Amino acid sequence: MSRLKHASAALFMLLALLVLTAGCGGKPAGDAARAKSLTFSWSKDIGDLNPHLYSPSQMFAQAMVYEPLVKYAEGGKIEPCLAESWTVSADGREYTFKLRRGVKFSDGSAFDAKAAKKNFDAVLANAQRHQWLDLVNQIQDTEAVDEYTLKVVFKNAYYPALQELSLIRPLRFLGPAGFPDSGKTSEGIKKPIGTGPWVLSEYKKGEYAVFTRNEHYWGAKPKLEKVTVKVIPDGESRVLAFEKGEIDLIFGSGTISLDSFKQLRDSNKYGTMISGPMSTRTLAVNSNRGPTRDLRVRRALQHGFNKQAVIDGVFLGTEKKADTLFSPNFPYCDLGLKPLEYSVEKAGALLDEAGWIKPAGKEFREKDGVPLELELCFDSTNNIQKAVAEVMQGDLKKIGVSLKLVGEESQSYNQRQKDGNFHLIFSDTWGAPYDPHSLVSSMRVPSHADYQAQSGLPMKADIDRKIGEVLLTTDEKARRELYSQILGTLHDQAVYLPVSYQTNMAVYHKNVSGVTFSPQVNEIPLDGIDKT
Amino acid sequence: MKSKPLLKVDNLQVRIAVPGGVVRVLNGVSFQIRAGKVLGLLGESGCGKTVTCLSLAGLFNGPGITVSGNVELNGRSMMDLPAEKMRSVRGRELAMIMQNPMSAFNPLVTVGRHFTETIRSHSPATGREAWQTAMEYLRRAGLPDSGRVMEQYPFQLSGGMLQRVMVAIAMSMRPSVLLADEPTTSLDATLRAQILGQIAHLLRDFKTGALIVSHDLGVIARLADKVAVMYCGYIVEMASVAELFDRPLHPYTRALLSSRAGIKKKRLTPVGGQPPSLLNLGDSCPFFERCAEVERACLNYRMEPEILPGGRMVRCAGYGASKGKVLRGLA
Amino acid sequence: MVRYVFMRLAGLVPVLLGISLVTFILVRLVPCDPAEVYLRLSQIPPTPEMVASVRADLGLDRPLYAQYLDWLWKAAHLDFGVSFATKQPVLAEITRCFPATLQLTLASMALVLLVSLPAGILAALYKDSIFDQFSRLLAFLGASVPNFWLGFLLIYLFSLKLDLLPVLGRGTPAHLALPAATLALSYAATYTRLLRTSMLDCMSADFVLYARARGLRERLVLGRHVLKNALLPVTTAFGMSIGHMLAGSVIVENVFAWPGVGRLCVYSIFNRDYPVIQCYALIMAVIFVTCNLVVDMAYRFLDPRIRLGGGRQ
Repeated sequence: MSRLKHASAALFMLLALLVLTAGCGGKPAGDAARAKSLTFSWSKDIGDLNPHLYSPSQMFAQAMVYEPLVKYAEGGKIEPCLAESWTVSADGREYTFKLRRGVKFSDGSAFDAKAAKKNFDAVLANAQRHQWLDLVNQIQDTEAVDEYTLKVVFKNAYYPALQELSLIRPLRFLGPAGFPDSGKTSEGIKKPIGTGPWVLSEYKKGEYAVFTRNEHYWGAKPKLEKVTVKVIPDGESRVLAFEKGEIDLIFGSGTISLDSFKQLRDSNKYGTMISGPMSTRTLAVNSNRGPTRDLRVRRALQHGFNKQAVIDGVFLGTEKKADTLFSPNFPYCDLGLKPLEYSVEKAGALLDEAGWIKPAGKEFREKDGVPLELELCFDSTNNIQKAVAEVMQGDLKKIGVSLKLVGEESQSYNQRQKDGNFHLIFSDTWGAPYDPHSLVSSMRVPSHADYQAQSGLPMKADIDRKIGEVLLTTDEKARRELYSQILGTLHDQAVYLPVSYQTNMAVYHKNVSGVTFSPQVNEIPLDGIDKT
Repeated sequence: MKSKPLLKVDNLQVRIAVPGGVVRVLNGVSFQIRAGKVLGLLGESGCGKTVTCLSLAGLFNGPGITVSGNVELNGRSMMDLPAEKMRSVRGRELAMIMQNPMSAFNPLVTVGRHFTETIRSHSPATGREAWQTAMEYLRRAGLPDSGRVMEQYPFQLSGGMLQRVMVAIAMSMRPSVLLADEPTTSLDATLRAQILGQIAHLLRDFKTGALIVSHDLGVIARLADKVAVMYCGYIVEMASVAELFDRPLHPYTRALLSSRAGIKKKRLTPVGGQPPSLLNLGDSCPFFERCAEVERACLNYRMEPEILPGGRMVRCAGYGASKGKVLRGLA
Repeated sequence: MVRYVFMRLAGLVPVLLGISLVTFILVRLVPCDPAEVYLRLSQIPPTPEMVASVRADLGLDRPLYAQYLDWLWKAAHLDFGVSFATKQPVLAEITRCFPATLQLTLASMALVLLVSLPAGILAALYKDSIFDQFSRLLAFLGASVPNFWLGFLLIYLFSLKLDLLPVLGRGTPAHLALPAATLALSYAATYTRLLRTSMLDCMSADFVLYARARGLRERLVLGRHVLKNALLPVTTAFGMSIGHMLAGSVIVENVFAWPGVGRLCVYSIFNRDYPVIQCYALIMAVIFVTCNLVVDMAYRFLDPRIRLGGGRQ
């Protein structure tokens, strides 16, 4: 018996020891009561905060610490940021930026043309990684003309240059002390030193990150002194943590389920806000495959789908109905395109015209003995896509179209977008500042669902050519005309089935004020938030 | 002059209540055991021999079980004794040897520990004292290499050795009465003789009374002074060993011993037919159906015991009213 | 004994080799290129040129056997490469996350023991009583209630309504309570019933009757004779659960934002992060084999029949 006693005693002590070291887990130092501090959550860890690279760094965090030359404001307006003013040469190829004076990095070193150029060089050295961004492909050279003047020369006149310079990554500025000895930020950085209103002060990987206010910030200092970001992967847990008071703010699209949002809103205990349209949730309809090759079938799908029901039933009124690919408030998108409204009769008539007739006693239309069957592919982990797909399936059944729902795991679903292996597939737009020019640009690339969907159009080559032109032309009027043609054609050809304009949402405790939305969908505007 | 009985059992009845009625396991079992005397309990399996042992030790209990009657050990009544008192009697004044030595020991506990825990449960001995006592009794039970035996685990010893250990444990407590349930059934012939010899020896040395339960005539013959034959929970005949083998009175006993070649027969001849079910057993003679000597009187017979000269007892209609049978048997 | 342990551990080598090969192949059979996945995570459109350049970076453009042998050679030197997604050394990532999972698992195990031992014993001793029925109901619930639902329920009850514990995260022992309880419940349910059955089996055994016949105190009978024997099968089953628990903490880690290795593994699978998956598979293999070994040795330690080989005199 003593053997067993000794063994169990030892085991017990071991267990006790390990349980007690629970206290050695991390906990953010400091108390909310002492500093003006806000806590919110993110589903992933913030990453290594390298301004010139991508995953695993999270964009909202990069935006807190690093700043661009110019900012993207409401409606696509470009505003000065680290560059006070700029001039563009007549041929549109040279941009001369006058940099803001007196700006310091968070370690006290000065921001000047030399530091700016160092950043540009590091990004260009890794140009291969940034191929996707035409801006980087178009930059020919940069020059530090004097201490506060930076010149950027492009290979061609590239009109979205300023929009793309405002992006969160890759062209924001790291302090020289943060560069590795080799100068190559593609290998990593020493410290996240930026000019932005926030500085990373504490970081426990996988658990939380703490940002403190940059006391030497050149602009309007944030009202909050401290921001803590906790890593909470699960949406329901996030809601519970919020209700308990462990986080002050829920921000973003899809961070909590729509049901939870409704429940929080209806409780009247918290503040809630919904933004304007950020991007478009749309389906891409494949003009190069199966029954959707026929324009009449594609237009019939548009008429046969009751979008308002989806807005009310699935989105619970948090998003607005979309009838065009881009929301009219985006640059060049206010084109007055006529929506294809919900009309079962029109849909039926179009299908009849296309030769798809409903045989007596059968549920679905047929042509030459083949039933009208379409596949709608969606991401099985995305509940919203699933819900929309189910409504559509019901609607299309009413006009005699059999819609098969194919839900797959994220990566396989993405594969289908690439291969064109779909009749209909979800394919959202990218939001500001990418819309419309970056998305339109990507329509030329075969590995995108947009290209695949449009590949059956007789005028596809023409569309691509026009896209190439619109990105390079310096004439504002010509640009407008080209966009009108491109987007008009796509609209008439019904290769997109827009569903709703995605919005951002925010939920916060009553003691939090100043919550707004940034025009850039990946930014969280913490600067204006206050807490009592 | 007879000494006072160590164990006095008077009309012991055991009933089990089941959904179908009442199972009458023991029906008025009565006997006495005196110092240095051995009573053998003989019968087929299922007749109630083991239940007798267990209920004497207070180990036959559970939902629906009723034990009534009177049991006196050393002049003290055992019925309605509080659990703790009963526990202290068990193993000390009343010791038991089980049927299957291989399964009676805990495989995870050493033999020595089995022994010392028993000693220390009944006396304030220290570990060392208990150890010494245990070793001594093992030697007396025929295990000279007692030190090594103590350190073995049960699976490392043979059945015979474990049986000896059980005997040693039982006797080390100097019990007044030993209850032995089929003491050598699972052993082979040579071993059997040895161990029976040892048991007999120890019983005599310590003047312990014993109840030996067996279906083996040889065992009964070797150890017992008196024999009680059991059938369906009744003691149907009780006599000294010599008398029983020489002149069995009850038809059942006669049938059991019938085609044997002297006392050397090892097994009882199974009697034709089956014993009746004990469920809702009536008061009439349970051997009625299988008896070769039924008479009219059997129909009214209610199992009253018939005491005969010489301390013999028999429960049979044939020895009641018609004295003729009795005289016939004894003539 | 030492030789025995050594031989068993030596058996680990072919097991690990086999597992590494199988994982290597299986993970590459899953559709979707890690390079593309990385690009999507970075919100970069995966054009063929981008994909090709990322593939070269990740070393995926080399022939398969070259990739495997290179990985194997480095792994033998405990260099498991760099995560595709985070660009950090894999072993560092896993060892960073492991203590949290280990802590959660140990706390759960402690809870399981604390609950199921007394509950199982009492259920056996008071068979068919209210307590026994209640424990049967709890066992049923524990086995059928899904982990995440239970987790949310516990948070709602103890954290929101009663305000006794924090909702999630890791920090103080209070943070450990709910996740450990959630993970422990289904195991506790199973072991309670297992112990009960085991004890009932023992209580009707011959040696228990003999122990009582010898007049041992009831406490001694229950402790030394019944419980000791009853615990044997439960102990070995429990040992096997450790590996199971370590691997199965994923859901609990997700619900409670517990920074453990289960979460890391699931992310890696979704992100096609081959180096992390391969290293994780190896580590779990080592853990399972070790658990197996520890259980076997415990059995030898506890059961003399195995330890001494059942030799007769």
